[in-house]
Amino acid sequence: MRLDPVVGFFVLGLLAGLLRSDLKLSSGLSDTLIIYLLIAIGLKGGFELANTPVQDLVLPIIVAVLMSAGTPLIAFPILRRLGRLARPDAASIAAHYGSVSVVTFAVGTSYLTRQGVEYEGYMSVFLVFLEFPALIIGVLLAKGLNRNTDWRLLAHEVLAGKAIVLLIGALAIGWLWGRDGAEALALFYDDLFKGFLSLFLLGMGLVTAARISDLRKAGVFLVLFGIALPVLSAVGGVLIGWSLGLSLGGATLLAVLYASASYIAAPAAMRIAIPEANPALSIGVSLGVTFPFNVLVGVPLYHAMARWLFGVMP
Amino acid sequence: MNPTPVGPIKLVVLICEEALEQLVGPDIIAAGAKGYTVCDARGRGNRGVRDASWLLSSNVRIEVLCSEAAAWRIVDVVETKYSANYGLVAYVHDVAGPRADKF
Repeated sequence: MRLDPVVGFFVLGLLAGLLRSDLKLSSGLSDTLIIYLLIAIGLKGGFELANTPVQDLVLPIIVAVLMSAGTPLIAFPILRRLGRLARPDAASIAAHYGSVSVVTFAVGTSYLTRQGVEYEGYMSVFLVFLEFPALIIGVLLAKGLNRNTDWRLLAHEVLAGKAIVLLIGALAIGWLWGRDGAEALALFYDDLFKGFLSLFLLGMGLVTAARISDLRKAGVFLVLFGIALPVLSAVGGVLIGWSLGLSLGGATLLAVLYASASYIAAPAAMRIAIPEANPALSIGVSLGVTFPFNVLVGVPLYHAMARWLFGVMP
Repeated sequence: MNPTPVGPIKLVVLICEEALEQLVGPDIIAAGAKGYTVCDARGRGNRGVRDASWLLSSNVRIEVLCSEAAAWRIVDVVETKYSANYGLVAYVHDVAGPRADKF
């Protein structure tokens, strides 16, 4: 079986939700698991940073972040013209797709580890810097610069959100202490990672099953969009990863990041910044279509794309 | 034995999606209330089941004890600012309690 066993737990949660099982993850447990995953991912990046000259990362990060603006800027006109969506809805969905999903990234790393593919441990630094720019672009697409947006509240929501605080905090801790100093933590955050990820994915399966009814409101266009845009973004991710000189695994993970759509940070930020947008549409398509697609099909597909590119353009 | 004296107070109840809590809080205080109480809420409305399980499907119930003038200001500001785009219901009770003048 090429797929990672943690994906099996996602499918199990999905089936349990569709069968209306009484299985339920309390929001306290889900919150705990996401905190664990964010810290584990941040720490791993920090440990790796301790062995990497930081100045080598500045250019790749700037390029990767600038290029990530492409996703919402491509998504927005598609949603407006082809999807005939209202401006706030199109902008909100564009922001969801421009931002990234931590758990999709985690599934990607888990998949690569299982395949025995090496990747740059500092990829989680990219995760930090790819999370929030798209949210700001989304608000600009919806409202322009000078309308009455509460930028302070939005900046606080985005930059002080738990994802950024924990990722940057854990990165710093990992970087300061290095792998030697954090050996005590490795047992908990490294060895147990897949176990906690499987629990979280079980919960994600349940949440996804609950969101499938939203897809009826979303319609055929958004379902197709939720599959086509990630694949398109992943092509860009593989190409950019390759041109930045990342390894095969690193380019695959950059593709996974570009292809993923946010369903934690973006919905919370968009609810406040673009209240006119219907959250059922954006969460429905990012969680109901794109997340399962990426986890089940996308990750292996993006890996195959990277393998092909690195094969013909060594 | 004399019973504790009680006076009339207005109780404003807002049931709304969790995202609104941080927006409504300052409006409640600006309208003249001294404070408010928030708890998680579950239920069903015209925006579907709000089962408080996870990810934006939770609601909160905000209770405000305040003067009559503040109560109508709160209802007014919340209805005009948020009811179009957010899941929200608001209603006002007449209640009685000790130290009514502190609200």
